[in-house]
Amino acid sequence: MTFQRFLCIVFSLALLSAPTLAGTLFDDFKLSGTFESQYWNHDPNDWTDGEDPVYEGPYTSWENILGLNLDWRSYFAEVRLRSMQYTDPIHYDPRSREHETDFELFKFAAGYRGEWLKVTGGDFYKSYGRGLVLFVQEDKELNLDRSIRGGSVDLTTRWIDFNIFGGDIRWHLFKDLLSSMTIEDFNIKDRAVGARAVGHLPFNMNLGASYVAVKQYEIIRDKYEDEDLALGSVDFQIAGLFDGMLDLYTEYAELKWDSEEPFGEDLDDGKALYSSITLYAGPVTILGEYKDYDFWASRYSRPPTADRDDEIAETDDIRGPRIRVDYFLASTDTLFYVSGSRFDNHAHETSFGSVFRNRIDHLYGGIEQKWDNLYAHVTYGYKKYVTLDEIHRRITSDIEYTIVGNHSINLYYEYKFTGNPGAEKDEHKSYLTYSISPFLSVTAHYSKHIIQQTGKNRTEDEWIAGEISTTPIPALTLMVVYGKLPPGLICSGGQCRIAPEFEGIQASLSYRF
Amino acid sequence: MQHSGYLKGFMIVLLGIIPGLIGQAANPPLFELKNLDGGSYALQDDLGKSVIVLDFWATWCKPCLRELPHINTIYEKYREKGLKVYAISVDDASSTSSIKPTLKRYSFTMPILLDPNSDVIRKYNANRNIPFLVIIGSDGQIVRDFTGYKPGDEKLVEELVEAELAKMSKPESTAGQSAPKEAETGGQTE
Repeated sequence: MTFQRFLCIVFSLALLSAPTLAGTLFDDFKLSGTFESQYWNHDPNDWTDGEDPVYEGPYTSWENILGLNLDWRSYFAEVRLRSMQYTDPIHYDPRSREHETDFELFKFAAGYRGEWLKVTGGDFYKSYGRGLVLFVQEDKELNLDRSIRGGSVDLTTRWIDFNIFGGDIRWHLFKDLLSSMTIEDFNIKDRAVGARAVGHLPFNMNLGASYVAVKQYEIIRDKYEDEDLALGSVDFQIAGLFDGMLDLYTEYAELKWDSEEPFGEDLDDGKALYSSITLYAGPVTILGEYKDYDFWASRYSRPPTADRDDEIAETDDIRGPRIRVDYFLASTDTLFYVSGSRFDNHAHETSFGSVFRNRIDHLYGGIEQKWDNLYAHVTYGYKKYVTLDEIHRRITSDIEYTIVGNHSINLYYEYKFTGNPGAEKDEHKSYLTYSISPFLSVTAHYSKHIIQQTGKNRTEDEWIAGEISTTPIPALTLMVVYGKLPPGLICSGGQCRIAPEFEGIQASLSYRF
Repeated sequence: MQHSGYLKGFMIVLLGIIPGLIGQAANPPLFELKNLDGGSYALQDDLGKSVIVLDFWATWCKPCLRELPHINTIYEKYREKGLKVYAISVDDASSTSSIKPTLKRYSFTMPILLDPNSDVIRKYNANRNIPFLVIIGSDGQIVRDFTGYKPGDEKLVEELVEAELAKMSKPESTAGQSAPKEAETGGQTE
């Protein structure tokens, strides 16, 4: 038994027995927790045809995560234990050294949370401002979990908020072939320190400043190389100007490398500007945004996309405005909205010696209508990459009907078209859900992708899946999915989740206590 | 998959459900979050004094935007009777600018809290699927939670809130009489 495993078991047993022992001593001792168990049998029929069989091959994984939270007066402790069993009998990735973990101390943190002071030691997530200079988070869409293991101190006063942190950045992929990879497997041993101060000024004004220094390590030609990266920003916010009618936010940031060609790449120092203005005039809401990101290539940055909310857009080199107008007609419970944007880039010379200019025009709008038993939402979107001569169109329709009492059905359909001189792609996505509140929802998914490349055969790919989600008793949720699902955001059965591509069977249990 | 692997998995499953089996009370994890104006809210300030509803949502989550108007209606109806409602946005830092326009668009009046790092929802809901709604009774214990939104959930939420508010207004000796109400509505206290 390793020392770490021994420590985990002792710590877990101590936590579980603590309420009984401590209950008599401390009235305000609180233990709570969550438990999640996920079984995935991913067995794609066509995996041998994939471009990278290492990443697309079949696997079975069973992951259990137990989260325990302990609160006593102003002190807190939390721990996440994880066990992971995993098989990939045909292909396995030599970079993934461990395929089985048990009682792994996945995450832990402890600290003090007072009225004006918060101190945390252990694992934590952190972002500053609008995510320009720092964004260390879990990202399910990218199947990536990054957190900081170190310390963080927050001071909160009437006039100023202050944070300082430091630690190692830990990378994990989860729920796919490389689930058990550790930070060593990624060849990334980054370390970061940072500080942020926000001054609260009269008239609901806030003035903030952030600074983050990252030491990035990578293996280059079989030896570790490191580069220092410094990011700083200032931001200004006014909320509720002119009797609550106007909000303003602007943030300017710079990024500096300590060498001219970090990791041998042609990267310049970067600049980023993000501004937003929101006007509230009765039933009309107008949101205007402007972004200008140039050489913004930090691993730990996720600036606002200033684009459609659910799409990840270019953020390294892009600039332009976006405006969205909403009009709510209260008498008929109808919402109309339209959004337009035009972006281009800075047209820097590429590493191949050419200048690449790109322009993106994007327009979308929708109508949302509610009646007593019926809800309908339709949208249309158009996006054109002008230089590439590529067009995207997207139509969605979402209808929900309450049949009787707590019985309802939900029908969703989405059509996406992508066309450029080399290929055309049609994507159909749909699902039908039958729900009985609050216990059960049954969903049938159907998607179809049709690709026609110039001079090549037409290819079709179908995605069919069934899903049952039930809450037999409060605090316990069970879900089973069988079939093939495309990657991305899945909103079905009345809840949203972000998941990678999957084919096979999934079963999950989620429990709170 | 080796047998030892399954065994270890079952051991951690057992660790997970032991607290439930031994009847450990459902305490809500404590937290402190910022609101949209930069002020702070600490759950412990209301805990044990009010009936509290926490509703986790995001601007990109369509079922959340179906549920929130109902929760706002419940908030308006019962706020004078001591109900506290907090809609907790789990939008990350990069989509913070969309939160307030969304609230104004639907004329929501309930207080909004920000959980940009998902630190708080992670403590309440292991898989972090949203919407996720928690009702906390005036005794400071979790009464019920809802993962996802299905039409009709709002009626059950309102019934449970009414029952909890009734307990709060009754003398302690008779408070237990409202328990059967939860059984009628399908709710189960823990």
